[in-house]
Amino acid sequence: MKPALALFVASLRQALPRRRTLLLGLLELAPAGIYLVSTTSRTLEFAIQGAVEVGGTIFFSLVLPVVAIVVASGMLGSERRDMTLSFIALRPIPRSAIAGAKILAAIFAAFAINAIGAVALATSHLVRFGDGQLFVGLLVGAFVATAAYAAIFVPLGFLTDRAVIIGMAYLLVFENGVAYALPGLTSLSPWRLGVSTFGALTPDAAIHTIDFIGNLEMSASQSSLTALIFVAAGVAATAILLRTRDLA
Amino acid sequence: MTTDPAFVDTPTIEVETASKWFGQKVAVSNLSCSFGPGVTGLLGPNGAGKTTLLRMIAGLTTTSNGSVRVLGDDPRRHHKVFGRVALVPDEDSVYDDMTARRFVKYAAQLANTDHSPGAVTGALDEVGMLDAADRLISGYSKGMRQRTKVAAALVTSPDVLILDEPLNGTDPVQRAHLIDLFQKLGNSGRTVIVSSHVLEEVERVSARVIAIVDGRLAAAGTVDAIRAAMYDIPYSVRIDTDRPRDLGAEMFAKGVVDSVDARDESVDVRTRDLTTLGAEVPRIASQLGARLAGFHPQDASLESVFRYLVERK
Repeated sequence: MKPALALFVASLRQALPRRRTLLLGLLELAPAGIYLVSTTSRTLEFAIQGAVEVGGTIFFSLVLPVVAIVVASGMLGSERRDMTLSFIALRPIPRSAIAGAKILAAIFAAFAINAIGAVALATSHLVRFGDGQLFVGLLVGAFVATAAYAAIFVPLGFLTDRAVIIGMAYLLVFENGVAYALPGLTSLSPWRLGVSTFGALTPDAAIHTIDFIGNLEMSASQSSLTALIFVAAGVAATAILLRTRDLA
Repeated sequence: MTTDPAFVDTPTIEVETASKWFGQKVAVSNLSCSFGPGVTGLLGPNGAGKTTLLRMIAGLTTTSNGSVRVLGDDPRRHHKVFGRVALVPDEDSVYDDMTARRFVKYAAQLANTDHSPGAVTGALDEVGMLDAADRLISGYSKGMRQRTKVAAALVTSPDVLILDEPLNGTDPVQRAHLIDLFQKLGNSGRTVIVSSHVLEEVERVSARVIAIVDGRLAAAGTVDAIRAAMYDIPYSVRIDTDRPRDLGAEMFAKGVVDSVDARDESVDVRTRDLTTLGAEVPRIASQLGARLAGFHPQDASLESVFRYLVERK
Protein backbone atom coordinates (compact mmCIF):
# COMPACT_ATOMS: atom_id res chain seq x y z
CA MET A 1 0.00 0.00 0.00
CA LYS A 2 1.34 3.42 -0.93
CA PRO A 3 2.20 5.65 2.06
CA ALA A 4 -0.37 8.35 1.22
CA LEU A 5 -3.07 5.72 0.77
CA ALA A 6 -2.14 4.10 4.09
CA LEU A 7 -2.36 7.52 5.74
CA PHE A 8 -5.75 8.14 4.12
CA VAL A 9 -7.17 4.79 5.25
CA ALA A 10 -5.87 5.11 8.81
CA SER A 11 -7.09 8.72 9.04
CA LEU A 12 -10.52 7.73 7.77
CA ARG A 13 -10.76 5.07 10.46
CA GLN A 14 -9.59 7.46 13.17
CA ALA A 15 -12.10 10.10 12.09
CA LEU A 16 -15.02 7.77 12.69
CA PRO A 17 -14.80 6.70 16.33
CA ARG A 18 -17.85 4.68 17.30
CA ARG A 19 -19.43 6.94 19.94
CA ARG A 20 -19.01 10.20 18.05
CA THR A 21 -20.20 8.65 14.80
CA LEU A 22 -23.28 7.31 16.55
CA LEU A 23 -24.13 10.69 18.09
CA LEU A 24 -23.60 12.59 14.87
CA GLY A 25 -25.52 9.91 12.99
CA LEU A 26 -28.49 10.44 15.29
CA LEU A 27 -28.25 14.18 14.72
CA GLU A 28 -28.45 13.47 10.99
CA LEU A 29 -31.89 11.91 11.44
CA ALA A 30 -33.35 15.15 12.80
CA PRO A 31 -34.08 16.78 9.39
CA ALA A 32 -35.93 13.67 8.17
CA GLY A 33 -37.98 13.56 11.38
CA ILE A 34 -38.90 17.22 11.12
CA TYR A 35 -39.77 16.78 7.45
CA LEU A 36 -42.09 13.88 8.21
CA VAL A 37 -43.88 15.86 10.91
CA SER A 38 -44.16 19.03 8.83
CA THR A 39 -45.51 17.40 5.65
CA THR A 40 -48.34 15.33 7.07
CA SER A 41 -51.01 17.20 5.10
CA ARG A 42 -49.08 18.41 2.07
CA THR A 43 -49.37 17.55 -1.61
CA LEU A 44 -46.30 16.41 -3.59
CA GLU A 45 -45.63 19.92 -4.92
CA PHE A 46 -45.69 21.47 -1.49
CA ALA A 47 -43.84 18.48 -0.08
CA ILE A 48 -40.85 19.28 -2.32
CA GLN A 49 -41.00 22.84 -1.09
CA GLY A 50 -41.04 21.43 2.44
CA ALA A 51 -38.06 19.22 1.66
CA VAL A 52 -36.13 22.25 0.42
CA GLU A 53 -37.11 24.23 3.51
CA VAL A 54 -36.07 21.49 5.89
CA GLY A 55 -33.02 20.71 3.78
CA GLY A 56 -32.04 24.37 3.59
CA THR A 57 -32.76 25.48 7.13
CA ILE A 58 -31.78 22.35 9.05
CA PHE A 59 -29.78 19.84 7.01
CA PHE A 60 -27.53 21.96 4.81
CA SER A 61 -27.24 25.03 7.02
CA LEU A 62 -26.93 23.37 10.42
CA VAL A 63 -26.44 19.61 10.67
CA LEU A 64 -24.09 19.18 7.72
CA PRO A 65 -21.73 22.02 8.67
CA VAL A 66 -21.60 20.93 12.31
CA VAL A 67 -20.61 17.40 11.30
CA ALA A 68 -18.09 18.57 8.70
CA ILE A 69 -16.52 21.13 11.05
CA VAL A 70 -16.21 18.67 13.94
CA VAL A 71 -14.69 15.91 11.79
CA ALA A 72 -12.37 18.15 9.77
CA SER A 73 -11.10 20.18 12.72
CA GLY A 74 -9.95 17.02 14.45
CA MET A 75 -8.21 15.55 11.44
CA LEU A 76 -4.84 17.24 12.08
CA GLY A 77 -5.86 18.97 15.32
CA SER A 78 -6.20 15.72 17.24
CA GLU A 79 -2.90 14.47 15.84
CA ARG A 80 -1.27 17.63 17.15
CA ARG A 81 -2.97 17.39 20.55
CA ASP A 82 -2.19 13.68 20.89
CA MET A 83 1.39 14.35 19.79
CA THR A 84 1.13 11.80 16.99
CA LEU A 85 1.74 14.42 14.31
CA SER A 86 5.49 13.82 14.53
CA PHE A 87 4.84 10.15 13.76
CA ILE A 88 3.32 11.16 10.43
CA ALA A 89 5.55 14.11 9.69
CA LEU A 90 8.73 12.05 10.06
CA ARG A 91 7.92 9.84 7.11
CA PRO A 92 9.27 10.28 3.60
CA ILE A 93 5.95 11.56 2.33
CA PRO A 94 5.64 14.96 0.62
CA ARG A 95 3.82 17.47 2.81
CA SER A 96 1.31 18.02 0.01
CA ALA A 97 0.52 14.28 0.05
CA ILE A 98 -0.01 14.36 3.82
CA ALA A 99 -2.28 17.38 3.41
CA GLY A 100 -4.17 15.75 0.54
CA ALA A 101 -4.64 12.45 2.38
CA LYS A 102 -5.89 14.24 5.49
CA ILE A 103 -8.33 16.49 3.64
CA LEU A 104 -9.66 13.61 1.56
CA ALA A 105 -10.08 11.52 4.70
CA ALA A 106 -11.96 14.40 6.34
CA ILE A 107 -14.22 14.76 3.30
CA PHE A 108 -15.08 11.07 3.10
CA ALA A 109 -15.46 10.62 6.86
CA ALA A 110 -17.74 13.64 7.20
CA PHE A 111 -19.65 12.69 4.07
CA ALA A 112 -20.18 9.15 5.38
CA ILE A 113 -22.08 10.74 8.28
CA ASN A 114 -23.76 13.48 6.26
CA ALA A 115 -24.96 10.92 3.74
CA ILE A 116 -27.11 9.46 6.52
CA GLY A 117 -28.99 12.75 6.75
CA ALA A 118 -29.30 13.13 3.00
CA VAL A 119 -30.52 9.57 2.50
CA ALA A 120 -32.90 9.77 5.47
CA LEU A 121 -34.48 12.99 4.14
CA ALA A 122 -34.79 11.65 0.60
CA THR A 123 -36.14 8.34 1.88
CA SER A 124 -38.76 10.11 4.00
CA HIS A 125 -39.95 11.91 0.88
CA LEU A 126 -39.94 8.67 -1.13
CA VAL A 127 -41.88 6.76 1.51
CA ARG A 128 -44.48 9.47 1.98
CA PHE A 129 -44.98 10.57 -1.63
CA GLY A 130 -43.49 7.78 -3.73
CA ASP A 131 -41.11 10.32 -5.27
CA GLY A 132 -37.38 9.47 -5.41
CA GLN A 133 -36.06 12.58 -7.16
CA LEU A 134 -34.36 14.01 -4.05
CA PHE A 135 -31.68 11.34 -3.62
CA VAL A 136 -29.10 12.44 -6.18
CA GLY A 137 -29.40 16.17 -5.49
CA LEU A 138 -29.19 15.81 -1.72
CA LEU A 139 -26.24 13.38 -1.85
CA VAL A 140 -24.20 15.32 -4.39
CA GLY A 141 -25.08 18.62 -2.69
CA ALA A 142 -24.01 17.18 0.66
CA PHE A 143 -20.74 15.96 -0.82
CA VAL A 144 -19.94 19.35 -2.38
CA ALA A 145 -20.68 21.29 0.81
CA THR A 146 -18.84 18.77 3.00
CA ALA A 147 -15.77 18.98 0.76
CA ALA A 148 -15.71 22.78 1.00
CA TYR A 149 -16.01 22.75 4.79
CA ALA A 150 -13.34 20.05 5.15
CA ALA A 151 -10.93 22.03 2.99
CA ILE A 152 -11.29 25.02 5.31
CA PHE A 153 -11.35 23.29 8.66
CA VAL A 154 -8.53 20.74 8.31
CA PRO A 155 -5.88 23.49 8.16
CA LEU A 156 -7.74 25.61 10.72
CA GLY A 157 -7.86 22.64 13.10
CA PHE A 158 -4.11 22.31 12.72
CA LEU A 159 -3.62 25.98 13.53
CA THR A 160 -5.83 26.30 16.58
CA ASP A 161 -7.58 24.24 19.23
CA ARG A 162 -10.58 26.55 18.86
CA ALA A 163 -11.38 25.60 15.27
CA VAL A 164 -14.77 24.12 16.19
CA ILE A 165 -15.77 27.24 18.14
CA ILE A 166 -14.58 29.47 15.30
CA GLY A 167 -16.50 27.28 12.88
CA MET A 168 -19.71 27.52 14.89
CA ALA A 169 -19.37 31.29 15.14
CA TYR A 170 -18.77 31.50 11.39
CA LEU A 171 -21.74 29.28 10.70
CA LEU A 172 -24.22 30.92 13.02
CA VAL A 173 -23.15 34.55 12.81
CA PHE A 174 -21.88 34.88 9.28
CA GLU A 175 -23.41 32.15 7.14
CA ASN A 176 -26.79 31.99 8.85
CA GLY A 177 -26.92 35.68 9.74
CA VAL A 178 -24.88 38.23 7.84
CA ALA A 179 -24.99 36.32 4.52
CA TYR A 180 -28.80 36.41 4.54
CA ALA A 181 -28.73 40.17 5.00
CA LEU A 182 -25.96 40.72 2.46
CA PRO A 183 -26.57 38.33 -0.47
CA GLY A 184 -23.34 39.42 -2.14
CA LEU A 185 -21.44 37.43 0.47
CA THR A 186 -23.17 34.12 -0.18
CA SER A 187 -20.22 32.86 -2.22
CA LEU A 188 -18.30 32.63 1.09
CA SER A 189 -20.87 30.19 2.44
CA PRO A 190 -19.96 26.53 1.75
CA TRP A 191 -23.38 25.13 2.64
CA ARG A 192 -25.00 27.31 0.00
CA LEU A 193 -22.82 25.54 -2.58
CA GLY A 194 -24.52 22.34 -1.46
CA VAL A 195 -28.00 23.82 -1.72
CA SER A 196 -27.14 25.23 -5.13
CA THR A 197 -26.02 21.77 -6.29
CA PHE A 198 -29.15 20.22 -4.83
CA GLY A 199 -31.30 22.73 -6.70
CA ALA A 200 -29.41 22.21 -9.93
CA LEU A 201 -29.85 18.44 -9.79
CA THR A 202 -33.48 18.49 -8.60
CA PRO A 203 -35.50 20.51 -11.13
CA ASP A 204 -38.70 20.64 -9.06
CA ALA A 205 -36.77 21.95 -6.09
CA ALA A 206 -34.70 24.58 -7.91
CA ILE A 207 -37.27 27.34 -7.65
CA HIS A 208 -37.44 26.98 -3.89
CA THR A 209 -33.67 26.98 -3.28
CA ILE A 210 -33.37 30.60 -4.44
CA ASP A 211 -34.48 31.72 -0.97
CA PHE A 212 -31.37 30.16 0.51
CA ILE A 213 -28.67 30.67 -2.05
CA GLY A 214 -29.41 34.23 -3.12
CA ASN A 215 -27.30 35.04 -6.15
CA LEU A 216 -25.21 31.86 -5.80
CA GLU A 217 -27.24 30.00 -8.40
CA MET A 218 -24.87 27.61 -10.17
CA SER A 219 -24.98 24.49 -12.26
CA ALA A 220 -23.88 21.29 -10.57
CA SER A 221 -20.56 21.33 -12.41
CA GLN A 222 -19.94 24.97 -11.43
CA SER A 223 -20.56 24.30 -7.76
CA SER A 224 -18.47 21.12 -7.92
CA LEU A 225 -15.65 23.08 -9.53
CA THR A 226 -15.93 25.71 -6.81
CA ALA A 227 -15.71 22.99 -4.15
CA LEU A 228 -12.69 21.58 -5.97
CA ILE A 229 -11.03 24.99 -5.81
CA PHE A 230 -11.76 25.06 -2.06
CA VAL A 231 -10.10 21.63 -1.72
CA ALA A 232 -7.06 22.59 -3.79
CA ALA A 233 -6.61 25.76 -1.72
CA GLY A 234 -7.06 23.75 1.48
CA VAL A 235 -4.42 21.21 0.45
CA ALA A 236 -2.00 23.99 -0.49
CA ALA A 237 -2.58 25.87 2.77
CA THR A 238 -2.19 22.71 4.86
CA ALA A 239 0.99 21.71 3.04
CA ILE A 240 2.47 25.17 3.62
CA LEU A 241 1.56 24.99 7.31
CA LEU A 242 3.17 21.55 7.63
CA ARG A 243 6.32 22.84 5.95
CA THR A 244 6.68 26.07 7.87
CA ARG A 245 5.34 25.51 11.37
CA ASP A 246 6.99 23.64 14.20
CA LEU A 247 5.42 20.21 14.44
CA ALA A 248 6.08 19.77 18.12
CA MET B 1 41.02 15.07 11.34
CA THR B 2 39.12 17.12 13.92
CA THR B 3 40.50 17.61 17.42
CA ASP B 4 37.41 19.29 18.85
CA PRO B 5 35.56 16.54 20.74
CA ALA B 6 32.21 18.10 19.80
CA PHE B 7 32.80 17.07 16.19
CA VAL B 8 33.44 13.79 14.41
CA ASP B 9 35.48 13.08 11.28
CA THR B 10 32.69 11.47 9.25
CA PRO B 11 29.53 13.29 10.30
CA THR B 12 26.08 12.17 9.29
CA ILE B 13 24.50 14.99 11.30
CA GLU B 14 25.96 18.48 11.41
CA VAL B 15 24.65 21.16 13.76
CA GLU B 16 26.13 24.55 12.99
CA THR B 17 25.66 27.49 15.37
CA ALA B 18 22.06 26.41 15.76
CA SER B 19 19.74 28.38 18.00
CA LYS B 20 16.09 28.02 18.81
CA TRP B 21 13.99 30.35 20.84
CA PHE B 22 10.31 30.28 21.71
CA GLY B 23 9.30 33.88 22.35
CA GLN B 24 11.56 35.08 25.16
CA LYS B 25 12.77 31.61 26.08
CA VAL B 26 16.01 30.41 24.52
CA ALA B 27 15.89 26.62 24.22
CA VAL B 28 19.10 26.12 22.22
CA SER B 29 21.79 28.75 21.94
CA ASN B 30 24.48 28.90 19.29
CA LEU B 31 25.21 25.19 19.48
CA SER B 32 27.65 23.47 17.15
CA CYS B 33 28.44 19.78 17.12
CA SER B 34 28.26 16.75 14.88
CA PHE B 35 27.28 13.11 15.11
CA GLY B 36 28.57 10.14 13.18
CA PRO B 37 28.19 6.37 12.99
CA GLY B 38 28.05 4.69 16.38
CA VAL B 39 26.18 5.59 19.53
CA THR B 40 26.41 9.11 20.95
CA GLY B 41 24.86 10.03 24.25
CA LEU B 42 23.15 13.41 24.51
CA LEU B 43 23.35 14.31 28.16
CA GLY B 44 21.83 17.17 30.09
CA PRO B 45 19.44 17.94 32.92
CA ASN B 46 15.72 18.26 32.30
CA GLY B 47 14.99 21.46 30.38
CA ALA B 48 18.52 21.65 29.01
CA GLY B 49 17.36 21.76 25.40
CA LYS B 50 18.00 18.13 24.47
CA THR B 51 14.53 17.52 23.07
CA THR B 52 14.57 20.78 21.10
CA LEU B 53 17.95 19.88 19.62
CA LEU B 54 16.72 16.41 18.65
CA ARG B 55 13.57 17.89 17.13
CA MET B 56 15.67 20.31 15.10
CA ILE B 57 17.81 17.41 13.88
CA ALA B 58 14.66 15.45 13.00
CA GLY B 59 13.22 18.45 11.14
CA LEU B 60 10.18 18.79 13.37
CA THR B 61 11.28 22.18 14.62
CA THR B 62 12.78 25.00 12.61
CA THR B 63 16.02 26.60 13.71
CA SER B 64 15.73 30.26 14.69
CA ASN B 65 19.32 30.67 13.62
CA GLY B 66 22.09 28.47 12.26
CA SER B 67 21.59 25.22 10.41
CA VAL B 68 21.15 21.49 10.77
CA ARG B 69 22.05 19.01 8.08
CA VAL B 70 21.20 15.33 8.19
CA LEU B 71 22.87 13.02 5.69
CA GLY B 72 23.83 16.14 3.76
CA ASP B 73 20.33 17.59 3.53
CA ASP B 74 18.22 20.09 5.45
CA PRO B 75 15.50 17.86 6.93
CA ARG B 76 12.98 20.73 6.81
CA ARG B 77 13.33 20.96 3.04
CA HIS B 78 13.94 17.42 1.89
CA HIS B 79 11.30 15.02 3.11
CA LYS B 80 13.09 12.10 1.47
CA VAL B 81 15.69 12.22 4.21
CA PHE B 82 13.01 10.81 6.53
CA GLY B 83 13.30 7.54 4.66
CA ARG B 84 16.67 7.12 6.38
CA VAL B 85 15.97 8.79 9.72
CA ALA B 86 13.78 7.67 12.60
CA LEU B 87 12.94 9.54 15.79
CA VAL B 88 11.65 7.95 18.96
CA PRO B 89 10.21 10.93 20.83
CA ASP B 90 9.94 11.10 24.58
CA GLU B 91 6.23 11.84 24.53
CA ASP B 92 3.51 9.31 23.84
CA SER B 93 3.33 9.65 20.08
CA VAL B 94 1.36 6.43 19.67
CA TYR B 95 -2.22 5.66 18.72
CA ASP B 96 -4.03 4.25 21.73
CA ASP B 97 -6.62 2.51 19.59
CA MET B 98 -4.05 0.47 17.69
CA THR B 99 -2.21 -2.67 18.69
CA ALA B 100 1.58 -2.57 18.69
CA ARG B 101 1.56 -4.84 15.65
CA ARG B 102 -0.76 -2.51 13.76
CA PHE B 103 1.25 0.54 14.84
CA VAL B 104 4.55 -0.93 13.68
CA LYS B 105 3.00 -2.01 10.39
CA TYR B 106 1.55 1.48 9.92
CA ALA B 107 5.02 2.98 10.52
CA ALA B 108 6.48 0.69 7.85
CA GLN B 109 3.68 1.50 5.40
CA LEU B 110 4.16 5.24 5.84
CA ALA B 111 7.91 4.84 5.37
CA ASN B 112 7.28 2.75 2.25
CA THR B 113 9.44 -0.05 3.62
CA ASP B 114 8.81 -3.76 4.06
CA HIS B 115 5.60 -4.09 6.09
CA SER B 116 5.21 -7.82 5.69
CA PRO B 117 4.18 -9.81 8.79
CA GLY B 118 7.76 -11.08 9.03
CA ALA B 119 9.27 -7.59 9.10
CA VAL B 120 6.75 -6.36 11.67
CA THR B 121 7.21 -9.41 13.89
CA GLY B 122 10.98 -9.06 13.64
CA ALA B 123 10.92 -5.46 14.85
CA LEU B 124 8.58 -6.32 17.72
CA ASP B 125 10.78 -9.25 18.66
CA GLU B 126 13.85 -7.00 18.75
CA VAL B 127 12.31 -4.97 21.59
CA GLY B 128 10.70 -7.90 23.38
CA MET B 129 7.14 -6.89 22.56
CA LEU B 130 5.92 -9.98 20.74
CA ASP B 131 3.87 -11.29 23.66
CA ALA B 132 1.83 -8.10 23.95
CA ALA B 133 1.84 -7.21 20.25
CA ASP B 134 -1.84 -7.85 19.70
CA ARG B 135 -3.12 -5.88 22.67
CA LEU B 136 -4.30 -2.28 22.36
CA ILE B 137 -1.60 0.29 23.12
CA SER B 138 -4.04 2.06 25.47
CA GLY B 139 -3.42 -0.70 28.02
CA TYR B 140 0.38 -0.52 27.85
CA SER B 141 2.75 0.70 30.53
CA LYS B 142 5.15 3.56 29.83
CA GLY B 143 7.97 1.09 29.20
CA MET B 144 5.89 -0.93 26.74
CA ARG B 145 4.95 2.22 24.86
CA GLN B 146 8.62 3.19 24.68
CA ARG B 147 9.53 -0.20 23.26
CA THR B 148 6.66 -0.04 20.77
CA LYS B 149 7.97 3.29 19.51
CA VAL B 150 11.45 1.83 19.20
CA ALA B 151 10.03 -1.11 17.20
CA ALA B 152 8.20 1.35 14.92
CA ALA B 153 11.54 3.06 14.31
CA LEU B 154 13.47 -0.16 13.76
CA VAL B 155 11.03 -1.55 11.19
CA THR B 156 12.04 1.24 8.81
CA SER B 157 15.74 0.21 9.03
CA PRO B 158 16.97 3.79 9.52
CA ASP B 159 20.56 4.90 8.98
CA VAL B 160 20.05 7.53 11.67
CA LEU B 161 18.14 6.66 14.82
CA ILE B 162 17.34 9.45 17.26
CA LEU B 163 16.06 8.35 20.66
CA ASP B 164 14.78 10.90 23.16
CA GLU B 165 14.94 9.46 26.69
CA PRO B 166 14.17 5.95 25.35
CA LEU B 167 14.87 4.26 28.67
CA ASN B 168 12.24 6.23 30.59
CA GLY B 169 9.76 3.94 32.27
CA THR B 170 11.58 0.74 31.38
CA ASP B 171 12.47 -1.81 34.05
CA PRO B 172 16.12 -2.89 34.55
CA VAL B 173 15.81 -5.99 32.37
CA GLN B 174 14.18 -4.06 29.51
CA ARG B 175 16.75 -1.32 29.96
CA ALA B 176 19.66 -3.71 29.62
CA HIS B 177 18.03 -5.26 26.56
CA LEU B 178 17.48 -1.87 24.88
CA ILE B 179 21.01 -0.73 25.69
CA ASP B 180 22.39 -3.88 24.03
CA LEU B 181 20.16 -3.20 21.04
CA PHE B 182 21.33 0.41 20.68
CA GLN B 183 24.95 -0.66 20.91
CA LYS B 184 24.38 -3.36 18.30
CA LEU B 185 22.82 -0.79 15.96
CA GLY B 186 25.71 1.59 16.56
CA ASN B 187 28.27 -1.13 15.93
CA SER B 188 26.55 -1.93 12.63
CA GLY B 189 27.45 1.55 11.36
CA ARG B 190 24.22 3.37 12.08
CA THR B 191 24.20 6.77 13.70
CA VAL B 192 22.40 6.41 17.01
CA ILE B 193 21.74 9.34 19.36
CA VAL B 194 20.43 8.50 22.81
CA SER B 195 19.41 11.36 25.06
CA SER B 196 19.18 11.10 28.81
CA HIS B 197 19.47 13.22 31.93
CA VAL B 198 21.21 10.39 33.78
CA LEU B 199 24.99 10.19 33.35
CA GLU B 200 25.17 6.53 34.36
CA GLU B 201 22.55 5.67 31.74
CA VAL B 202 24.46 7.44 28.99
CA GLU B 203 27.69 5.89 30.19
CA ARG B 204 26.24 2.42 29.67
CA VAL B 205 24.97 3.21 26.19
CA SER B 206 27.78 5.13 24.58
CA ALA B 207 31.42 6.02 24.79
CA ARG B 208 30.95 9.47 23.22
CA VAL B 209 28.87 12.09 24.96
CA ILE B 210 27.60 15.55 24.07
CA ALA B 211 26.50 17.35 27.23
CA ILE B 212 24.29 20.43 27.05
CA VAL B 213 22.72 22.67 29.64
CA ASP B 214 20.66 25.82 29.22
CA GLY B 215 20.73 25.13 25.50
CA ARG B 216 24.49 25.45 25.28
CA LEU B 217 27.26 22.92 24.79
CA ALA B 218 28.64 22.08 28.23
CA ALA B 219 31.09 19.35 27.36
CA ALA B 220 31.84 16.80 24.69
CA GLY B 221 34.02 13.77 24.38
CA THR B 222 34.33 10.43 26.05
CA VAL B 223 32.49 9.68 29.26
CA ASP B 224 35.87 9.58 31.00
CA ALA B 225 36.67 13.09 29.78
CA ILE B 226 33.31 14.35 31.02
CA ARG B 227 33.89 12.71 34.37
CA ALA B 228 37.38 14.23 34.59
CA ALA B 229 35.91 17.64 33.90
CA MET B 230 33.33 17.05 36.58
CA TYR B 231 35.98 16.02 39.13
CA ASP B 232 37.69 19.34 38.59
CA ILE B 233 34.68 21.20 39.92
CA PRO B 234 34.77 22.75 43.40
CA TYR B 235 31.90 21.33 45.43
CA SER B 236 30.18 23.16 48.27
CA VAL B 237 29.43 21.09 51.36
CA ARG B 238 27.73 22.05 54.61
CA ILE B 239 28.91 20.11 57.68
CA ASP B 240 26.75 20.29 60.81
CA THR B 241 28.87 20.24 63.95
CA ASP B 242 29.01 21.70 67.49
CA ARG B 243 32.50 23.14 66.84
CA PRO B 244 32.33 24.71 63.38
CA ARG B 245 35.24 27.14 63.78
CA ASP B 246 37.70 24.55 65.08
CA LEU B 247 36.69 21.96 62.52
CA GLY B 248 36.89 24.45 59.66
CA ALA B 249 40.29 25.77 60.72
CA GLU B 250 41.75 22.28 61.06
CA MET B 251 40.42 21.13 57.66
CA PHE B 252 41.84 24.23 55.99
CA ALA B 253 45.18 23.81 57.73
CA LYS B 254 45.45 20.24 56.51
CA GLY B 255 44.59 21.26 52.93
CA VAL B 256 41.45 19.18 52.83
CA VAL B 257 39.33 22.15 51.71
CA ASP B 258 39.92 25.24 49.56
CA SER B 259 37.78 27.62 51.62
CA VAL B 260 35.87 27.71 54.89
CA ASP B 261 32.87 29.70 56.09
CA ALA B 262 32.02 28.93 59.74
CA ARG B 263 28.45 29.45 60.99
CA ASP B 264 26.76 28.96 64.36
CA GLU B 265 26.17 25.23 64.12
CA SER B 266 27.74 24.34 60.79
CA VAL B 267 30.63 25.07 58.52
CA ASP B 268 30.44 25.56 54.74
CA VAL B 269 33.47 24.35 52.86
CA ARG B 270 34.51 24.13 49.22
CA THR B 271 36.61 21.27 47.89
CA ARG B 272 37.57 19.65 44.61
CA ASP B 273 37.96 16.24 46.20
CA LEU B 274 34.80 14.99 47.81
CA THR B 275 36.31 11.55 48.46
CA THR B 276 39.16 12.91 50.59
CA LEU B 277 36.82 15.27 52.38
CA GLY B 278 34.51 12.38 53.25
CA ALA B 279 37.42 10.39 54.65
CA GLU B 280 39.12 13.22 56.54
CA VAL B 281 36.20 14.96 58.22
CA PRO B 282 35.35 12.13 60.69
CA ARG B 283 39.05 11.72 61.55
CA ILE B 284 39.59 15.43 62.22
CA ALA B 285 36.33 15.66 64.16
CA SER B 286 37.41 12.74 66.28
CA GLN B 287 40.79 14.34 67.02
CA LEU B 288 39.03 17.57 68.04
CA GLY B 289 36.32 15.81 70.01
CA ALA B 290 33.74 17.55 67.83
CA ARG B 291 30.33 16.01 67.20
CA LEU B 292 29.27 15.59 63.55
CA ALA B 293 25.53 15.93 62.93
CA GLY B 294 25.30 16.13 59.14
CA PHE B 295 27.14 16.28 55.82
CA HIS B 296 25.20 18.02 53.01
CA PRO B 297 26.58 18.52 49.48
CA GLN B 298 25.09 21.86 48.38
CA ASP B 299 25.36 21.68 44.61
CA ALA B 300 26.18 18.16 43.58
CA SER B 301 23.32 17.76 41.12
CA LEU B 302 24.13 17.00 37.50
CA GLU B 303 22.52 20.29 36.57
CA SER B 304 24.83 22.31 38.78
CA VAL B 305 27.83 20.41 37.47
CA PHE B 306 26.86 21.15 33.89
CA ARG B 307 26.07 24.74 34.70
CA TYR B 308 29.56 25.10 36.09
CA LEU B 309 31.03 23.60 32.93
CA VAL B 310 29.08 26.04 30.77
CA GLU B 311 30.16 29.03 32.83
CA ARG B 312 33.78 27.87 32.66
CA LYS B 313 33.78 27.58 28.85
